[in-house]
Amino acid sequence: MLKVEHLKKSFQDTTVLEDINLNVEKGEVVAVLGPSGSGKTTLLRCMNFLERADSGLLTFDGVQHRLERISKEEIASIRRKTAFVFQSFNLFANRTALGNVIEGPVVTGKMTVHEAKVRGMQLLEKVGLADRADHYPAELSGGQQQRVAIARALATDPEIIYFDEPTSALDPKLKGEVLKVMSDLATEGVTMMVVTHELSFARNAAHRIIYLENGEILEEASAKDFFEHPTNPKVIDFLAGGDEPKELETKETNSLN
Amino acid sequence: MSNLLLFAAGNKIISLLISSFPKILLRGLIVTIPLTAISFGCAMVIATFVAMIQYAKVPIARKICQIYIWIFRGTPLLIQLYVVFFGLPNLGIMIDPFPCAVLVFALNEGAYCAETMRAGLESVPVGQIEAGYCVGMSYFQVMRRIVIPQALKAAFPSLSNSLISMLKDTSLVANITVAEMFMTTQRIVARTYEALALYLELAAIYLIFSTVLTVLQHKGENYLDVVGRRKKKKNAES
Ligand SMILES: Nc1ncnc2c1ncn2[C@@H]1O[C@H](COP(=O)(O)OP(=O)(O)OP(=O)(O)O)[C@@H](O)[C@H]1O
Ligand SMILES: [Mg+2]
Repeated sequence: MLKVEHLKKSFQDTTVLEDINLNVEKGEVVAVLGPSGSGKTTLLRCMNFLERADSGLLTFDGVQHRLERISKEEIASIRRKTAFVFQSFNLFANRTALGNVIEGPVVTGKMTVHEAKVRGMQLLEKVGLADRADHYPAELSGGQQQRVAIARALATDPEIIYFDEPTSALDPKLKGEVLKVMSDLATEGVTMMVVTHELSFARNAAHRIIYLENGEILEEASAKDFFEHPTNPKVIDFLAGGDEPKELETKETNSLN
Repeated sequence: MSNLLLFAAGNKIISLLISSFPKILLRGLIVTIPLTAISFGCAMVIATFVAMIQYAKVPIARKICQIYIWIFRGTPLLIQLYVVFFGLPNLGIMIDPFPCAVLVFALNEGAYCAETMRAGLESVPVGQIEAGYCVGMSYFQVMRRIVIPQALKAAFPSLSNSLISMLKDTSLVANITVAEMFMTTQRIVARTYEALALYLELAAIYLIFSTVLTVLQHKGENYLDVVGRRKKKKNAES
């Protein structure tokens, strides 16, 4: 469904992504892991043209696009079929929760306002926020805002949703509610590409893991193989050290208790 | 005897104030307020365009806007009025007093408000703009639906202040023969020599006008602040 070949991206003179190749099948959940500064956010932003890649090929829905000279129309057509969930939620502050959700389908002419509202209420119901439909973002907790953002992403029936560390800005209590919604989507067969530091989520919800370091994909494996039989020494290091694995351990001990 | 004289003089002043009040107020209603309203409306249009050009960093147009702002903010309003009204006729360009006043006020106020609006536009977080693109909006849809409404809300208090200042500044157009409140008062003073009483009366009428605008400003701010209003209501209930 999504295929990236030889993607390159640099900021001024520093190369951030070096020859990235990956593909995502329909219904697949791919988690992108890697240390801070490895280029995960940049990769995701290139997929949706919030950042323009220097070169490479992107095949989306069977149509191949050359990244170095992609047109506005091509970008618009890809964006209509994708959605993005940000680390900092980025809800429209001048719209209510429901207003945020209906904005996409209404503005692209996919639905009338009425249809979009009906669908929007279903989606808010799904993320457990139907009772907050007329609240403004400033009146919602971080976890609630992120769940509204997920409903907003679902509203245009995208073929793939990109998530950039959707729980990093949330304190531990609120992470769970967002991860739960995402796990539900994964089981429903929504295609997702998720940059995350939540190793337990990656392990349980993702089908495949892509490990990025210094702008290169060092490892690509099924979630099971990645966590249970890591081969690359850098991955073994990553899984053993740093803050993230500790988080995993505490999560697991918590669930054991 | 002298008491009686003072009393008679006081009476005379009071009746003068009563007879002049409707005359000055009428000028306010038919000149000062329309002049302020029309000029400010035009200024808003100019300011929005100029602010958007600067915000979008449109190459050459942006430089032109900067020069425009630089000139109109850097020179006195009164001199701008003189240049256009008394100066341009030397080039064969004659403009009637009222349209001339509207032109100068719109350009002057537009320059100030453009900067206020630009700050408002820039106050909208980039993340919301990116989110707009991601749900399928075009640049203009993002501007119209997300950025401009929030920018106007952020700029509203400063814009209201500009409006109030401008209302008072319209007294300057007496200099270019527009018969507004100040000129009318000056004429009455010339006849009666009651400068203190009459100018205080004029000041009071300006104060009434600006008080009305201040009240409207607070109403407007309250109207725009939906979230704050709800919070207050909630607190009041609990
Ligand atoms: N707009 C930019 N201009 C210049 N350099 C940038 C820009 N955005 C990112 N970078 C650099 O690119 C590299 C990759 O950044 P990126 O945000 O993609 O990393 P990341 O893997 O998402 O990290 P984290 O886990 O901390 O979010 C970093 O070295 C960063 O400094
Ligand atoms: Mg990142």
